[in-house]
Amino acid sequence: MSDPLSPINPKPKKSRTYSLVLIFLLSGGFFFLFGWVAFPELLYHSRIQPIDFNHKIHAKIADSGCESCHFFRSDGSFSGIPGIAHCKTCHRKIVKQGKNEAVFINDFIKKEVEIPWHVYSKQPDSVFFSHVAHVKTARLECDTCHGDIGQSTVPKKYEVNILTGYSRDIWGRNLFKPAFLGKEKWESMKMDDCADCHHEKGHEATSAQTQKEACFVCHK
Amino acid sequence: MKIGRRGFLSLGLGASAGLTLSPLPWKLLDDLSIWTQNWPWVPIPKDGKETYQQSVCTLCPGGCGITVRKIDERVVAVAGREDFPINQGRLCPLGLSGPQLLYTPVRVMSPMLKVDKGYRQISWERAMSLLTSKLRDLRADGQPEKLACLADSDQGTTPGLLKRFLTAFGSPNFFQTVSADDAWEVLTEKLSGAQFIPGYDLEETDYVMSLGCGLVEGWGSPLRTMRAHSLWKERGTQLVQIESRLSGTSAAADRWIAVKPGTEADLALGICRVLVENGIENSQPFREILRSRYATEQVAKKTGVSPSIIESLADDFKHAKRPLALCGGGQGRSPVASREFIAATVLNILAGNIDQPGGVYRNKKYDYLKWPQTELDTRARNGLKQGRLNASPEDLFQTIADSQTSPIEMLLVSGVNPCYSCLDTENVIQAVQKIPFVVSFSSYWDETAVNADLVLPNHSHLERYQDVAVYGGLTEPKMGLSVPVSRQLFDTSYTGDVVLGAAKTLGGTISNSFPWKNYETCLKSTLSGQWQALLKQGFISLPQPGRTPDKGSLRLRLPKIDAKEIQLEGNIKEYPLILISKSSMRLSSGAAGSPPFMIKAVEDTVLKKNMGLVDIHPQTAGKMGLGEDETALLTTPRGAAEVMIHLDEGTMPGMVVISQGLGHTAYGAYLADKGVNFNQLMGPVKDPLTGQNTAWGINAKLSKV
Repeated sequence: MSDPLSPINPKPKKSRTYSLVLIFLLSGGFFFLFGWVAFPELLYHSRIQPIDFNHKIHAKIADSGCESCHFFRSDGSFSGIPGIAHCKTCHRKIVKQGKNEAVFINDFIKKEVEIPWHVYSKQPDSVFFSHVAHVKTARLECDTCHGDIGQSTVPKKYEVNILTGYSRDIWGRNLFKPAFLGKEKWESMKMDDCADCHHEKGHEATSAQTQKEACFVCHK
Repeated sequence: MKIGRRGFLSLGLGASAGLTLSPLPWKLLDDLSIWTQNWPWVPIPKDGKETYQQSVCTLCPGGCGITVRKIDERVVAVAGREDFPINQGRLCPLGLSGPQLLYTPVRVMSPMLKVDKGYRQISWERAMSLLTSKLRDLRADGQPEKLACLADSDQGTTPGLLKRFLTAFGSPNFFQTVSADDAWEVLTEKLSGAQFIPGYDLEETDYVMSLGCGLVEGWGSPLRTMRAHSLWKERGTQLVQIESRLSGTSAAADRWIAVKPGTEADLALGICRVLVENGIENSQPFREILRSRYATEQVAKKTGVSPSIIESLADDFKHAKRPLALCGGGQGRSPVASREFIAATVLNILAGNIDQPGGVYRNKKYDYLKWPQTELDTRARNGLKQGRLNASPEDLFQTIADSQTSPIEMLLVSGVNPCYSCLDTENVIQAVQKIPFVVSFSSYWDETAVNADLVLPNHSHLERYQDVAVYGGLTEPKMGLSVPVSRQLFDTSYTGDVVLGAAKTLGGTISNSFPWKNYETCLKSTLSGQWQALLKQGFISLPQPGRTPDKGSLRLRLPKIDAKEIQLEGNIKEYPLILISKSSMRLSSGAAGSPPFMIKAVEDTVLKKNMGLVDIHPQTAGKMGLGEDETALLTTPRGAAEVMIHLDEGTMPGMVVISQGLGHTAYGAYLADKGVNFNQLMGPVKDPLTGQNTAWGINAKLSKV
């Protein structure tokens, strides 16, 4: 004999189940959003580049494209981001009268201080990467791995992962975009990205000496 | 809404599901794995500008060119220099460990004075004033000859300055550890009336007969020899190794002839006899001796090599286009027994290869220290009149050990470590301790430094300018210039500057004999004509005037070509085994102690934990009831040590083989107390012809412990 208003009568099974499912879904939804939205906000902190460098203007006057400033030295090593010695070849004094240029001249050139750029593609100390092998031998274009920075008028937003210290661009900003759905090569720069491209190009013999793959080829 | 237990669980499950479908846990795991490796106390080398600097390695007499990689000011790596003629890009483990020798905590970081409990750091000012006051006292007492100096050689500006100082001071007691190069000069003078240092044209020979030379164990200039050996393999040059054990070189040879120990010369002379009998023209007076004493049957009995093999070796040697005989066992750094040298020389004379491609070149030592005559005052002249106390360092230490009071009051030690490298080491240490005032210029706390009264550390090998003449079997001797690739890390000083400073303070004729402001000025002016070339290239060839192919005849002066054999120390009844040493590229037996990189590469058949192993044939071990890895006591007439047994069929029965380069007691935890010092178990044996120490082994016994 079941009296709906009896105090010892528990809630009917069906409605209890519904409320449990509801809690499950609400909780799930909340934490789902937390993981996708709040977590990145907490994990990544923005950093401002010391100078609002305008690539487009400089690319126009550069004779050899990217290699005008990002070149290979005679011993095959890659120069990376140019130091102020290179900038000085033109910017010994104000050239264009921009606000950014004034900051650049006063804070760095005059004080002989290297610009503390935040590097988007900085890899851990354990990684060995040879630019000459990829640019000269494999003839990859710079924007394949680095994106079309050359046409930017301001630096890309730099966000640092506060746990690891590396740029957000390493893991990739767009996480749920697999390669077959159109993920660009330059959108992330982790080991798997390197491996995917090597696999795609059919170049797995990464050691020039042994003609085989090996961990120590990239992790010396 | 009341959330009960089930509700709470549901919340949790939902949270888990939601999180799992988000990147959070995966990203967090990945990031934490990186974060946990980047804690502040994890050492990460600072990045910086990468540069390469060229220099010459001075850690052994090989004189290889090195290229040093630096990040900012830090020396990070050392590699061989590609464009350097001696080593052509190759480098040995010791050279490669250069950075460890630069940064080791075992470095002497400032002048150190011995006090009651250990050593006290003092300033250079105080150190120099102490040194000069002691020198002054010695002179004032009218006994300048009681100052002695032991250096690594008499070649080079630093030893030159030391020798000059002793002369100006009035002491004839300048000693150098007799190297193979010095030994050649005495030998060749006695044999042919003219001094020369043999240069071997390893690159052009097509047949090499090696009398026990450790060609792949670091012979001559180690990397040059190894490159030559690689060339031999490529070109089909035959290598015949005459050695009583299966060394690395024996294993790499085309033929290994296992002779009874100490009979390499007999075999060589036996081969000579066959050559002479078979008509090789030679007008020299050794035909009779060869015929009468080196008949094939006699030689076969003596050496244990069958007559047919002796004949076949002679046949091969005869038919080779450019045969070459080499002598100088092991790494060839110590004096060769005259008997062996004579045998090898006769072979080379019969081969007609003197001063010919693929043969032996007669190189002369090039004295480039063209300094003005040393000024001498009366005191100095009187002191020098006394004559040198002994012929060799071993004799000197023996004299001191035997005397009640040491005849030497003050000893300067530069570039050598006698308290480790001299034979009968215990005796040498006692002798050194008897000398009232010992000054070491060592850059490291080696065995001699820890017995010194005053340590005045020289800059280490990557921090200094040094001229290094390389003869070591090279066809064309070279001189290299070592340059500072690192700033001076500690409060060290050029040994040359100590000498110049002391001379200036002592004044008078001593000061006059040293007209240079400092060591670097002295070096630059000494090498003036060549300085720019040396800085640019790193080396110059040492002039060899008067070498023409016509002068290819070498006449042996001595009517008797078979010098007496070296008798091993020890009564055979009491010491039934023969103990010899083996060298390896993994261990340094010279003045530089093996750094950690090298010790880590030593096999566990040589060193196990801290025990040194000896090689012994299973038969011999079996007779004594000893098995693999068992501990035994190795005793010789000069000392005893506990060793572990390693059974090796490549060791001739009746022999015991121990590694060189172990058994240090100083040099810090990475090297001290590992293995046994072979030198401690050995004693010097004088060569009957030259008087130099040419002991190649000693009689020994093994007993169960």
